[in-house]
Amino acid sequence: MGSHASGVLAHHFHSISQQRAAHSLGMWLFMAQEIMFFGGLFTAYVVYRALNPLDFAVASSELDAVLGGVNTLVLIASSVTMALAVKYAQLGKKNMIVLFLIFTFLFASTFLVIKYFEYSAKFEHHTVPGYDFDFHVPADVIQKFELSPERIATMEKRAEVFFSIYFAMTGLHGLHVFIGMCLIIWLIFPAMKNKFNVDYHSPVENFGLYWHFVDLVWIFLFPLLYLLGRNIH
Amino acid sequence: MATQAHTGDEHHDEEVHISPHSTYYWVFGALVVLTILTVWTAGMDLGPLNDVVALGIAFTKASLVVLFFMHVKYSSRLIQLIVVGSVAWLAIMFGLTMIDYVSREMVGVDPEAVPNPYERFEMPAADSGHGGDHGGGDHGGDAAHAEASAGDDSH
Repeated sequence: MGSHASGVLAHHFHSISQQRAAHSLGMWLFMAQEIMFFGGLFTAYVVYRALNPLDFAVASSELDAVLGGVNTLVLIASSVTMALAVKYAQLGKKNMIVLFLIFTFLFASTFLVIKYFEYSAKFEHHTVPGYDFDFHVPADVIQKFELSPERIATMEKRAEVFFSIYFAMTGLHGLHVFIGMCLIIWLIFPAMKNKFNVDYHSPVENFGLYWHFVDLVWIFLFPLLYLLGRNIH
Repeated sequence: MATQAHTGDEHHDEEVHISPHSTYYWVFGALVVLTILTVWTAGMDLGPLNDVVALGIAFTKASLVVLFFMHVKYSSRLIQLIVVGSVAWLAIMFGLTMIDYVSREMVGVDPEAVPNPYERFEMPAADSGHGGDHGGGDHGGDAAHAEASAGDDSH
């Protein structure tokens, strides 16, 4: 068990390890809430896709799977740098904590920059729901599935449902990335003042949990949103 | 991929578990490989198996992140219970919702009596901006759309 001499034990805890367990428990309960928060959107996705599998696949094939894939790798890399930042916090290595928090911050901003380019392309191509939405079913799809004019017309409307879900899910996820970047800045200052050590590193550790959760959500969003229509053309 | 000196899973979570760098590197490698694999398999036409493969890979990646990056493998039983519980509640939400959607016809609910979830997205018939909207709806056409208009008439 850690020493009590470091002055980081709050008076209402019995020991350092109990304090750490309580911090961790609180964060995990928050994570459970986050899972249900995104879960509602995933449920919407599941229901609407189950009702219109082909429409979703066609709309999905409009997304840029290369950018989505690169962003997947960027987030995975940021998860590794974050995991290492937590490790250095556990060891109390001040400079390494700061360095790896900065790495994580840079990967996070890379993710949002790529996201920005993706979103602007959507505005240019009129695939933003409620904003001059104008989706056209590609000719090869019409031919392959022998779509009637009525079917094409509804598919073009269903595409708006897909893009609504796309923007809701990636938007909420992007907001989490942005909040994560703010929290990294918030963590860098105490890290520079050498506040984290073997006995007290819960803020870094708990932020790490949040950051890995952001990565987790994307692990599911990438195949479910970007890769659906890869085999229909 | 043995992880450090802490052998066995049931030490009493009093101490901080510190994974060696190598753990993070091989998990990173596995995540990258699985990402490439999911893109590759998405291009194949496997029918319904496409979803099974994509979700199988996604759950494998998620498990790696949860177990090794979030240290749940070395966490207390209480934390592990919260993780399992979260997934269980999520499954209840998906499951019960889908039971409703897939069973409506089975239990004999009149499709026209069920609110069409798309009604709010669909402008009334006036929106015929998409050119040749008339023609034979031979290929299964669009049942939902037909239901919606039928529903509108009966209101």
